[in-house]
Amino acid sequence: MRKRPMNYLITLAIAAVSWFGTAILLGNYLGDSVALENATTDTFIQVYRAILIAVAVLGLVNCCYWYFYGAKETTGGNVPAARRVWRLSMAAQVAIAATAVIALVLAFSDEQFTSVEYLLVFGAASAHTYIFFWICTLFMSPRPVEYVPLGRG
Amino acid sequence: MTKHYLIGIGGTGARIMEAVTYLCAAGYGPDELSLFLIDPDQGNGNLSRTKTLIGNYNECQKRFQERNSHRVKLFRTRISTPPESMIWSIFDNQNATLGNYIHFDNLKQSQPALADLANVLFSHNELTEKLNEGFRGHPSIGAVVMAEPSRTNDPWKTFWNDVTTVSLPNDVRVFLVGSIFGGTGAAGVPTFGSRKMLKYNELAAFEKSSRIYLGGCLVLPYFAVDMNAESLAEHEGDLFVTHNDFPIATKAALQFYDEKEDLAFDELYFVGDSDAEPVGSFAPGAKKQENRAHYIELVSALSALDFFRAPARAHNDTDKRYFIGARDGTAVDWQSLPVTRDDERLGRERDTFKLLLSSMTIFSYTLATYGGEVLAMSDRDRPAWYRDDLHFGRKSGRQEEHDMALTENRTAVDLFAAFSRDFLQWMTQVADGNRRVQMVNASKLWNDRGELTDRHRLPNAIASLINASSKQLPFSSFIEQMNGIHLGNRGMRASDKYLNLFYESAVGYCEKNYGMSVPAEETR
Repeated sequence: MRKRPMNYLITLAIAAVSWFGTAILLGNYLGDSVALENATTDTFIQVYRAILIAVAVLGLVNCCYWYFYGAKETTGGNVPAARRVWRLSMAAQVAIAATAVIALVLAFSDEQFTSVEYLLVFGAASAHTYIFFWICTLFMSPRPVEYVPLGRG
Repeated sequence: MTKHYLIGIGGTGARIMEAVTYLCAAGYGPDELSLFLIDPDQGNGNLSRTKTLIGNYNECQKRFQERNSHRVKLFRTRISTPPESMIWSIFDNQNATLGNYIHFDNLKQSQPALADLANVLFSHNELTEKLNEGFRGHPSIGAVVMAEPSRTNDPWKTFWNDVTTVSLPNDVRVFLVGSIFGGTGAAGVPTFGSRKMLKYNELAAFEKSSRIYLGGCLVLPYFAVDMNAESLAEHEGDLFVTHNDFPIATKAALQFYDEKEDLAFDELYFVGDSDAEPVGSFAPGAKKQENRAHYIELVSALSALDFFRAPARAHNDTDKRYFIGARDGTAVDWQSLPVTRDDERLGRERDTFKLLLSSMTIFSYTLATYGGEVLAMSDRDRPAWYRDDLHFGRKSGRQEEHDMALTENRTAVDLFAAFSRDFLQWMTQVADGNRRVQMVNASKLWNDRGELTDRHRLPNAIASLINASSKQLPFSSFIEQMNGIHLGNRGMRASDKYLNLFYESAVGYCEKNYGMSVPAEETR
């Protein structure tokens, strides 16, 4: 599971399943539940899914970069540097999730969402960014950086 | 089981024993080896160095208890030394002279004819020179005083005990090593090679043959010492020889070996080099006589190991056979070393030798640098191979011996690291000098300050440590090897795990970077 291409393929599969859950299932639920005054439900779902595609791609790219970086021969000899890269990636993913919510707010600035709806959107973005990154790297980091992710020893 | 005895005689004998010990550390020695030294010059720097080295070897060997696989040959030889003393210093008192030894003053009174004979055979200087610093290049003195070793004191007591417990002919392989051109070795090798001393001694007798299979290595002149007027003036009036005296002493000795019929050697090796490479400053004996290692000592050590490995000749096989090995050009590389007399095994044996010495070099370099670095890191900064399954920690709830923090485990690794540095220094000295010896690349091992090169500053140095074709894989490739090693028994001591991981990775790195491989029929 820690070796390529296995870790890349499993990560891609998780991203796809996760996107289906958040963009399709949760998207349909939000489309039905949000009270929109100006925009149509279809527009909301389209924008929501577009944002989730963007964050999912960024989450996936970050994971793939971590696998690539972690598998490099030079990485195993400098674990502190690898830890810095992981932490920076994690922080970037949190920022991306927050940016996703802000982007949705800006796209629908003349609409009113409940705090639960904000939380759901943030949760969906999180599932594609830092949570996705953390879970994938926790179980599928290459051998040299196996113990770098938070919670791994 | 066949017993192997290596007896080093004099300063050169001590240096060859040093080479044998390093080869055993690299895994190229026999399963068991007994050894002792003969030298009246107890303060001789070469002797002290070898004595300390053997002590360190045994400390390491004792602490390395479990090997992960058959690939781990490291320190496999059990070296034993006589318990009371591993050096036969010949004389009981510090101020012994030949005159005292033969009671010359008494002889003059009681047997004047014998005293006159002694006067004819030995000069006044030879009779009165203190011998606690060796025979000063005068083997005729040594031949007299070495003729009656005490059987009741070590090392001879243990030696004869071992010989008498053997119940097969030729089952104790005894190999004598010493120089042909100096004092102690030149006196000792023919003395102990004579029929009655060892081979056909009554204690070695077995039916019509002997329990002892006797071999010897005579080292012909191979080095020079840096002499200046000051050092010569310092010893003016003393009895000593310099490298200028070696050729004539050698010529006389070779003539002696050619004509002497009383010698009982089953096999005899002659090793030498015509380029007299300087190995240090001139000193006639004692502490100052501490010379740099030389590749001829490595070749002589190989002769001992070849002797121990080759089958003994049948009792009725009296045909003389001669084997000659020589380097092709001026350079000495891995291919020029005479590892065996057996033509069929030569290629395989060379591959094995090269892999073992190279692996030991990589192991030593990485353990002495990266090994210490990892132990000094905080736990979270340590690499995956260390943190795997909490191998080296207490968190796993295992006993303390699995804890790398345990003093005993740290001490074991520290001892190996210190031995590794000594090994690298020895390898460097062997390869140093006029750069004819192309085995390891000293300039990649050490920096200008005499420290081992830093892997962070020179990550590719490891790829050029061995003089062989290289894929130039950096140090991180070695770490990758470490991350990929599977330990068969995860319950072994933490220090054993540590050493096994480093050694297996060193072998793996040599295979990957230098394209070396363990020969298929490798049975050692």
